[in-house]
Amino acid sequence: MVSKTIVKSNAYFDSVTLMKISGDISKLNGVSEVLVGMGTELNKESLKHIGLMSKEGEASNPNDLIIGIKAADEHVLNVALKNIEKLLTNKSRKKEFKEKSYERIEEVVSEKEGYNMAVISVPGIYAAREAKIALNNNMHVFLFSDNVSVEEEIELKDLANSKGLLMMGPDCGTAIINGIPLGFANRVRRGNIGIVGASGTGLQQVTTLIHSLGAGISQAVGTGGRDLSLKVGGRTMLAALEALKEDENTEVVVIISKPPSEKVAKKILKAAIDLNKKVVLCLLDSEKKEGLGENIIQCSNLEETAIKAAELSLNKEVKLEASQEAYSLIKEFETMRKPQQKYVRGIYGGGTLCDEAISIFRNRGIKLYSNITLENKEVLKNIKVSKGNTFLDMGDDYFTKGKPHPMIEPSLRNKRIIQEALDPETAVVLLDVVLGHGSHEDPAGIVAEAAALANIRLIKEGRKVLWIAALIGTDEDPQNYGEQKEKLISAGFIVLQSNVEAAKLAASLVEI
Amino acid sequence: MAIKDLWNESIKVVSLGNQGFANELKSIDVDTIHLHWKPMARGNAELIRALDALSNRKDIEEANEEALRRINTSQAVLIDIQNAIDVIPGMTEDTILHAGPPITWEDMSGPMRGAIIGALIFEGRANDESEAVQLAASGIIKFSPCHEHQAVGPMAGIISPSMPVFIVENKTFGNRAYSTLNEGLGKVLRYGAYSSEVIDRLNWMKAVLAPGLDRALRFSEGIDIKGIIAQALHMGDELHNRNKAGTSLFIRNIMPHLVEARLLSEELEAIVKFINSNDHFFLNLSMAAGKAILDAADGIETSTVVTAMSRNGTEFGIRVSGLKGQWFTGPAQMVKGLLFPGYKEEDCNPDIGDSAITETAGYGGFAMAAAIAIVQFVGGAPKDAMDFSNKMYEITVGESSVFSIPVFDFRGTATAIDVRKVIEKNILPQINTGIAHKDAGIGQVGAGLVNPPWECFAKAIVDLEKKLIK
Amino acid sequence: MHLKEEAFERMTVHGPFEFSTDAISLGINIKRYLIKPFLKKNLKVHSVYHNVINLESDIGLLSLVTPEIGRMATYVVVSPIEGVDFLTMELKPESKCIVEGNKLIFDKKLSVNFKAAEEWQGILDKGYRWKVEELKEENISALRAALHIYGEKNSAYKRIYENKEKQIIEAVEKLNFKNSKSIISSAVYSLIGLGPGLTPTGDDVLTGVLSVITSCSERKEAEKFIIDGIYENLYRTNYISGNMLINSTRNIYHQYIQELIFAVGSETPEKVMEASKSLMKIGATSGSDIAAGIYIGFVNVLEYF
Repeated sequence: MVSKTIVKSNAYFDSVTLMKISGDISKLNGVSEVLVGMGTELNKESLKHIGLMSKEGEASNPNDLIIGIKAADEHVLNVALKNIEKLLTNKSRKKEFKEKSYERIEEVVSEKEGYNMAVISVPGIYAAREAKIALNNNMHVFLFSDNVSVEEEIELKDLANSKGLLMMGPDCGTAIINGIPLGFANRVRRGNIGIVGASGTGLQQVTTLIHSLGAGISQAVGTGGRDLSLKVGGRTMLAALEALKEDENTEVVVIISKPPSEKVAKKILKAAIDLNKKVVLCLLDSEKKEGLGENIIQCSNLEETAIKAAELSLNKEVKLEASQEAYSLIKEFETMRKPQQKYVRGIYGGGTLCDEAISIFRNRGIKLYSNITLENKEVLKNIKVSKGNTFLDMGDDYFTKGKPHPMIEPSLRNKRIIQEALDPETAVVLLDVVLGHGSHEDPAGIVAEAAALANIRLIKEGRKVLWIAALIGTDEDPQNYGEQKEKLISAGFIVLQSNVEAAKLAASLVEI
Repeated sequence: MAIKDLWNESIKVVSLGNQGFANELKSIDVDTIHLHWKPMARGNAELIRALDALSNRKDIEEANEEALRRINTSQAVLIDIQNAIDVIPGMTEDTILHAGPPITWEDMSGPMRGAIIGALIFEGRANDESEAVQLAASGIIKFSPCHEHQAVGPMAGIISPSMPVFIVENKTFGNRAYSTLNEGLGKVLRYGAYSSEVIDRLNWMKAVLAPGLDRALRFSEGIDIKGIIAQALHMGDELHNRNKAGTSLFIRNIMPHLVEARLLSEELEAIVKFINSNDHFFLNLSMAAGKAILDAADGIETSTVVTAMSRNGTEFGIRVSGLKGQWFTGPAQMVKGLLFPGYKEEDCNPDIGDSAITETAGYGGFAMAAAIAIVQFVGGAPKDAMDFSNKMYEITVGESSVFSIPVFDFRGTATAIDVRKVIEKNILPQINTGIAHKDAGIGQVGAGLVNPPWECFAKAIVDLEKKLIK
Repeated sequence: MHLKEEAFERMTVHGPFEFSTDAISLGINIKRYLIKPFLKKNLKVHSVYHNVINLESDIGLLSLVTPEIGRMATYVVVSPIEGVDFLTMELKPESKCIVEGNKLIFDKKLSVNFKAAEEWQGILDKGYRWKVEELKEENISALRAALHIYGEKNSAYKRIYENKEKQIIEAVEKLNFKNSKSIISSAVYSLIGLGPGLTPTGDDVLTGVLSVITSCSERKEAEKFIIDGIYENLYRTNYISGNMLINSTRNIYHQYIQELIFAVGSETPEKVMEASKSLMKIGATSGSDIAAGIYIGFVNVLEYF
C-alpha cells in the first residue's frame, strides 16, 4: 500500500468537475482511496478521514487543489496521478477552446493583459469613439477608417501625444510595426531603415523595393492621409520621428509625404534635421528645398527614395533587377503596332502610384487626363470614356461607391481594363498589381484574366497592346511573388518591381 | 510611457471592423482578438454622443443606487378600500382615469372607448352608448392617465369617480397607490364591454364586494402584498400573466378576516365565490404594489431609472425618475404569442394597460424564469423563458433583495431599469402580457410577448442629456 | 399501453435522431428513384467524407452533399448542420439507409427530410446540345487562358503544357477523334486509373473529353469507342471514380461541367472564364483535370470537324 498527497496552489476547478475526476480515478484497478478537491474545510475533513492528511494539506486554502491517493503499489499510483493530470488539463483546455467572444475594447482590457494595439476599421462615424477608448486604455491605434472629422483627428492625436501613444490615422492604410504588417502591408525583412509616410501604397512600394534591394525595415509608420494638412499639422509624423530618433535599431529614416502646407513642411524639415541620422526625404510632387544640409537627401519619387535609403542602409551601391522579357515583348509589339495606337491607359488601384505615374508624364511634358488631377486642363470630362493618355485611380470614390476597393476585389477593375485594351487608340495598358496582407489572394490571376479576354478579341482584330504591370510585393508575401510574376508574364505582361520604371517605360513608348 | 517603448514590446492586437485584417494577423501567429463589434444605440450617432455624456457620472450612479435602494426597501401593504373620488389625488366628478400615457378620445382604441362608455353608464352620466359617446367627445369629461394620479389599471385601466379602489400603502416611504378591483375574465369593462351584465356586476362590486372586503381588512393589520408577490414567485407565478398562486395566497390571507367580519352569509358566499372564480384577482393588487414601490423611487434628480412603463392601446409611454412628470412615448407594439382558438392576428389590439408596472418593478416578464409554465400561453420553449429573464440583468441597475428566482440559484430579479443601458446594449425590456380583441367588449384573445418601442428610451436619453449636462 | 408501443415504434424509425436536416434539392435521377413507392430501395453507405456521403444503390452511386459541392442528377443536396459534418456523425460504411415516407434514415444518426426539396436538372439534363457550326474559337481560347492562369500546379493541363508527362501526352494524342477504335481504346486504357487521388487524373481528363462528345448535337463514332473502352477498363480504377465514368457514359455530369460546356458552346469568353473558375475549384486537381479534358475535347472537335 502506498499513498501520496499533493497540493497545487492557485489551481481552481469547480467541484462538479473534480468530483467526476475523483469518481473516474477511483474506478482504476488498485486504487483504494482518492480525493481530488479544493482545500475547503469539508474536503480537508474527508482527507483526514481517509488517512491522507499531510502538512501541506493542513495548510491549504480553498484556492489550492488537493490530490490524495492510496494505491496498491507505486505503479498504480503513478498511473493514477498521470490520469488525474490528463483529466485536469483536458478540462482546462476545453475551457479555452470555447473561445470567449468579446464585443468591446473595454471587455478585453478588463479581462486580459498585454493587448497594446487596436486595429480599427469600423465605419467612420463610430471610429473616433473607439479609437478614443483604445487610447484611454493605453493602446496604440491603427485607424484604417476614414470619414473621421478633422476635429476628431486632432483630439485623438493630442490625446495620444499626451499619453505617449502612437495614433496612426484616420485613413491610415498601411504600417509595419516590429515587423508585423498592419492593414494593407507587405512582409518585409527587418533592418535599420525606419519609414514614416502619409500614403499607404507609397509605403508599400518603398518597403517592397527596399526588401528586394537587400535592405530591411525597422519600422514603417503610417500617419494617415490628412496628417500633413495645415490643421492637423503633422502631429503623428512628428511624434513618430521623435520615436525613431530614440530607436537604436533605426539608422536611416525615410519620410514620405505628399505636398504639405508651408508651415507644416517647415516643422517636418526641422524635425528631420534634428534626427541626427541620415534622412531620405521623399516629397512627392513638390520642389526640392534649399539648404537642408548633407544629412538630408531629397528624392522626387518612390523608387529613388528606396534606392537611396537602401544604399545608405547597406553602405553600398544597389540596383533594381531588370526585366528579362521586356525587350522581346516591346519588339513584338512595335512590329504589329498600328498608327492610331498612340496612347497609354493607366488603370490603377493605388492612388499614390497613379499620382506618381502622372508626375512622370507631366515632367516629360506629355499631355494627359485623369480622374484625380487637380489641374483643370487635365480633368477627364467623361470618366466613363478615356481620352488621349488617361490615368485612372480606380480606388477613387466615383468607382468605389457602394463597392469594395479594387485592392480587395480586383475583378472590379477588369471591365475597364478590357475596355481600354480594346480601344483602337490604346498602345499601352499600364497597371499596378499589389500583393501582401489585405490584398486579394490571386491579384495577378485576376488581371491575367482580363488581359487574356482582351487578347482573344485583339487577335481577331489583328492588333496587340503592350501590357505593363508594376508588381508590388516581396518574396515573403503570402501570394508567392514568383508565381504571380509568372502568371502575368504568361498573359503577355512586362513585369516591373517599380512603378516609376513602369511609368517611364510606358512614357517612352508614346513620347513624340 | 513613450512611443519608443512600443519598439520593444510584443504586439498583441484587438481588432474591430474588417475581419480580414484580423485573419491576416492570426495567420502569422500574432495574438489577435477580433471583436464581435456592433455600434451602440443602433448606430445612431446622436444617441451615442448622449450616452457618452451620461456615462461614468458619479451623480447618476449614486442616484440610481438610491433608486434601487428605495425600490428594495419599499413595502406594499393593502390597508383600505374606498371610492376613487374620495381618495385619488386630483380626481373630480368629471375625471376619468385611463391606462397609459395621455391620449384624446379621438385616438383611443376600441377596448378603451368601450370601457369609457361603460364607465359613463355606470356613473349614471349616460343612458346608452350614443349618449355616452357624445359626452365623452364633448370635452366635459377630463381624461387623465392613472399614473399621474398614483393609480394603475389593467387593460383599458378605466377608473371613474364612483368606483371602489384598493389602497396600497408603501409603509417605508409613506406614499400610496390605487387600483380598481378585478372584475374577472371575458366580457368585462376593462376589455371594453358595457352591456347591462357588466354594469350590474360593477354595481354589485361597489355595493357588496368592496365593502365586504373593506370590513375584513379592518380586522387585519393590512395585507402584505409585497410579501405575497415574493412567495408567489416561488410558486410558479410571475404576477402579470400568471396570478394563480398570488390570488390563492391572497384568499388565504383575507379568508380568516372575511369570516371575522361576520358578513351576511349570502354576501360572504357571493364574495368568496367571486374571488375564487377569478385567477387574476390578484393582478390589480400586484400592479398597485408595483406602483407604490416605484413612485417612491420617482423624482430622484439625477437618476436614469425607469419608474413607469405603460400603454394606452395606441401609444407606449415610459417615465424616468430624474425627469419626473414627463412621458416619453412611441407607438404601442403588437403582442406576439399564442391566440385562443378561433382568433387571428387581425383581431388583436395593440399593447394596452398599466400592467407593465410589474416588469418595471422587477417581476412580471423579468421573472419569467420563475414561471416557466407560462410558455404554454405565450409560446416558445422553457429555455426561452430563462433566456429572456437572464437578459434583463444587462439593463438594470441591480437585483431585487426580496424577489428571487429559484432556478437561477435564487438570484434576485433584475430590478431598476437603467435607460442608458437599454440604449447602449440595444436590449429592450421584456414584457409578457395578455392580448385584447380590438373591438370593444369581446375580451382577451390570447397572450404573448412584447417590448416597448425603442423611441421611448431614445427620447428619454436625449432629454436626460439636455438636463444633466450643464 | 397502445401509446407506449406506438411510441417505441416511432422511435426506431422516426427518431429521436441525433441529427436531422432537410434536403434542399434532389437531382432528377435521385428524385425519380426515391419517389417510386413500390420499388424497394437498397441503399448502403459506401464512404463518408466531411461534406459527402456516398451511397451504393440499385441505380449506381448516389451522393448526399452539402451545398458548396454543387449539384448533380445523382446528388441530394442537404442543409448543413451547424458545428457538425458527416464525419463527426460517425456514420459507418456498409450501414443501411432506409427510405421511409419522405425521409432518408441512417440508423439513429441522421434523418434527411426531402419533402420540400426542389427538383434539379442541369442544362445538359434538360436537353441542351452544342452545335459544331456555332462553336466559337474565342470561347475555346478563353478556356485555354483559364486553364493557364488558374490550373492547379499538378493538374493535367500544366503537366501537358510543360511537357512533363509523357504518358498523358501520348494518351491524349491518341484520343484524336479521327483515330481507329483500337487506337482510341488504348488511349482509354492508358488514362483510366492513371495518377493518384480519389478520382485519378486520367479518369478526370477522360470524363472531360467524353462530356464534350456526349453533349454534342451530332454523334461521333469516337464516342462509342471511348464508352466501350471505359466499360472494358473499369476494373483499373476505384469504385467512386468508376461510377463517375459510368455516369459520364450516360451523359450525367456535375453542374459545373454542364455549365462550362454550355458557356463554351453558346456563351461569351467572359462566361467561359467564370464557368472554368468554378469547375477548377472542385477537389485538389480534379476540377482542373476535367477542365483540361473538356479543352482537349473541344480542340479535337475544332481541328477535325
